[in-house]
Amino acid sequence: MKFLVRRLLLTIPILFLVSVLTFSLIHLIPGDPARVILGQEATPEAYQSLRAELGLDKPIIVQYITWLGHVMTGNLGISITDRVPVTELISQRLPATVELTIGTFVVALLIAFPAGILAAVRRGTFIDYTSTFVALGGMSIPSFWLAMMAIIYFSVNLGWLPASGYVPITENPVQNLMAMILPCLATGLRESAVLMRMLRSSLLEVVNMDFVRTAKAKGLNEVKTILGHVLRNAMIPVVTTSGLMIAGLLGGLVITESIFSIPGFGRLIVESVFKRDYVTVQGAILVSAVLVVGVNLVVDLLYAVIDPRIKAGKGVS
Amino acid sequence: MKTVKKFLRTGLGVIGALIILTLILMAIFAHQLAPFDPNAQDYNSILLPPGGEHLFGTDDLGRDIYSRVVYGAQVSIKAALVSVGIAILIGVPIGLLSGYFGGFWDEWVVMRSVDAMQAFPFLILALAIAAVLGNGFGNAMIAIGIGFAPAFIRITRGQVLQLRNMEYIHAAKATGVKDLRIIFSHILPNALNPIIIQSTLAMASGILAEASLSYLGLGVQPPTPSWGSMLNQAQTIMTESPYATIFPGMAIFFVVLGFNLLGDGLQQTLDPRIRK
Repeated sequence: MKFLVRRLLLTIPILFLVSVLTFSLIHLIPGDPARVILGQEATPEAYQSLRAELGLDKPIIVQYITWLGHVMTGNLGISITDRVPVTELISQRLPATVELTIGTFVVALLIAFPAGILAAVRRGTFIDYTSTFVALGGMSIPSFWLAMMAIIYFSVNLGWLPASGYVPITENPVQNLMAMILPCLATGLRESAVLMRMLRSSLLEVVNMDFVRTAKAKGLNEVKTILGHVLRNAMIPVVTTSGLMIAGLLGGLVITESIFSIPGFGRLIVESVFKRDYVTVQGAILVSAVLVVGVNLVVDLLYAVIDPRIKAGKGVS
Repeated sequence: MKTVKKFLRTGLGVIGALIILTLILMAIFAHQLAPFDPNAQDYNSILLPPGGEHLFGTDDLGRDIYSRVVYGAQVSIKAALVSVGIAILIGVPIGLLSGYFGGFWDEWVVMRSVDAMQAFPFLILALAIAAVLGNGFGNAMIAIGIGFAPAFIRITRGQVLQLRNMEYIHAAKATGVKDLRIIFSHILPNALNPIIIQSTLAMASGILAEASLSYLGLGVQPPTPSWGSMLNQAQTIMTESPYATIFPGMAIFFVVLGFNLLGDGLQQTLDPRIRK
């Protein structure tokens, strides 16, 4: 309980600073933000009206407090170009991104776990070297290029899977699945490489510990030793990596969504950037940062479940 | 010398170094290696497949893809050096000072700001900064550099925390050496290894990030040949001619692989935990 309270308290200053950084974004625009958004040809009335809407005519502290007050009540402002609440835009786009994130994560886990375990168990063999080289290769492939190659091969040449045409899962699950296979594979392959390397090195650290030797000496076979004893103890760095991966994915999916025309959260940011809709950009990056803080919190709490020593405040040996 | 020998034994690290050396030579001698002006358009040679005088074929404007890939190496080298350079200039001094002096500023201002910065997904942060600063290579580099800086702050600070309680630092303090001199002359040289490893790995990410921003149209602007912007332009023609997509992508892949392999090799050579 103490651990939980301490961890929750630690997120408060982080969220405060996240809000300050996000708020500052619009003030980083060189010159007058309202002038930059509207362009030089805007009428004085339109200019004054936007300044008032953005609160730019007030002192900066007042602007921040007003903005924060709105954010706390779930009001991220009105999109400058679409004239609808930013929260509405984000909530329309998040389901596709969540689906893509889950799909990518599943692909990454399905590849990383068998490959990572095999590489660690067969350390120093051809299998280990090959998987390390393939993993480093996988980490070096730009996922957007892999996505383009997948479209050329699977969509254009073979005609097996669609290159675009996202349909919400609630409308047509089969079409949705078909449209999501390529994006999930293209992004998941790269993520699996990161996860696999982490799992391998983490397993190698644990595999030589005394309790593993004891388990083997008691006559436990290799599979049972790995799955029953080694894996759980090797999970902490893997859980951390998975948490960071989900945070990184939110960024990486910006491009995947653009390539496959998936109306997700990342594509909303790209579209808003090009439309100079800074209110939406501001709202979206705030939501992404809060999501990451939330994921990190869950990851830290998971530590306590995986390793009771953390909950007891004894740290990890 | 011992370190060089150890590095040479890493194998994959050496392959990485060779790939990067090739990239550097390609960037320096681009003018000699490229048979065509990378921006010269030839409407009689549109979308040609690889072969003949166009080794990698041509794009939809009749430009020689091979020449553009060769010149693209210049942008990638610049992207790696500038973005990581900015991150080092911001991150290392802050990490050194924060770790050395400690206290409220270190714990509650610097480290919590690092936590907050790292809460923003990197590419989204870079995208947002590039958006407010405007399109272009310079702004993209600032955006990527700022995005990388927290990692350098964290790594440098971690090193300082280990080193500041060592006997030779206490001895320097006792003999009246000034704090700044201790930080830059006694602590920094001993904290360099993890910073070098992080720099190499960050260069790989810097190249990927530049390519990603250019692909989205927020980095290098046409007609300058950058591998990311080449992929952006190739997207509209990838069904008719995949070559404009394949070669710039492969170039990114090999260079990023080179930096990752080099980083891995350096880690095996310089990181004492792995070295043991």
